[in-house]
Amino acid sequence: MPRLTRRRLLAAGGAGAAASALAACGTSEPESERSAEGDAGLLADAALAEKGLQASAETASGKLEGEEAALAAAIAGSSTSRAAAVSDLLEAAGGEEPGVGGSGGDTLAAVADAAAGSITAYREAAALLSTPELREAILEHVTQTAAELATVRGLIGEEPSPFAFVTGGSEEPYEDTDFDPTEDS
Amino acid sequence: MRMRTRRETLHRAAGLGAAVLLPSLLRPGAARAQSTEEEDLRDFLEQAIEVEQDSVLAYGTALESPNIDAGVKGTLELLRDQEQAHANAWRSALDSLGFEAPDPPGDPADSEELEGLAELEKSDELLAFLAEYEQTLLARYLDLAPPLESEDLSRTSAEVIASHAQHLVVVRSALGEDPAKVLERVARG
Repeated sequence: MPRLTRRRLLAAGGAGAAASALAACGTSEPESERSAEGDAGLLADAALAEKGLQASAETASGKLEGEEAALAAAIAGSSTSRAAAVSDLLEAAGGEEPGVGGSGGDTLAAVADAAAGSITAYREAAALLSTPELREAILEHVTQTAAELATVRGLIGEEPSPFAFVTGGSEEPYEDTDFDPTEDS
Repeated sequence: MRMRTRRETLHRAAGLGAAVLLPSLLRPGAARAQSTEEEDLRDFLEQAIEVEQDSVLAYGTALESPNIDAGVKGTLELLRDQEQAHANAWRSALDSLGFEAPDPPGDPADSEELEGLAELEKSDELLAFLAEYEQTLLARYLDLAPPLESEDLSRTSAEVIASHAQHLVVVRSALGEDPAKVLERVARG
């Protein structure tokens, strides 16, 4: 199955991504990008992104005060656990530990940016890791990180859940709420 | 948008019949494998559609309550629309496979998952129900998504799971829960 870019999924319109992806599955060679050899690279990307979030949240927790500091500290703690878990998976996959990510700033906005970066890496890993066990572990990290992103956004006055499809990237996913399931079908 | 009817889907598929048939005869093992994969996808999509359609109804029911806090109505409308977007995506995917999607429930009483919702009156009770439902929905997806063979559906599932995690935060926050406590709750699953 070919890799579908977000742009290609979006270009198809309609209720978008999932349908386009399946249509492509049916008309293309069944060539999977999943392989045990690719796991280390995906996990290294995820580990690097998670360490960036960890560093950013730790820095912010030391600079901020009150509720903001408490939230940053909570995220730093969770991120540390996730980074360790991903590192264990990376080691088991035969990959090398990436360097420590930069803090990226000392504000909650910087923490939000780092969380979005982690979601981007986890999203790709959730699609392409070679075993259901690895994908399950990564999906749990996606869950936590997306919740953290929403919490931070809420605290800094942004819409906590702006999109129906959370990519972690800057590209706005397709959103169509006009579909009426009771229409002739 | 208008969904294709099952008849239209089959008609369209018929035009590809000869091209599909020959490889099937030549590679019966591969054909069976493809069929099994499609059935697995169908099973996933049917369940995903059902939980998303239930979710749309749950938010809609809460929004219809005269007691729901005016301050959260706009937020609940946004979340309901996002649930509908998830359902739409899964329905279209199932339609692409030539299967019919389950009908959306018309009333909370039509769904076991929404049992008791219609009897709730207070705003906090309704929000608590929505929060519990989002938590249940997350657990369902985390159970259903990892075995998916389709890389693209796995990617879309990750996006939808992330969306529900954010919905859970939003609804818990609307209940006045401490943000750090909400994150703990999400992490515990």
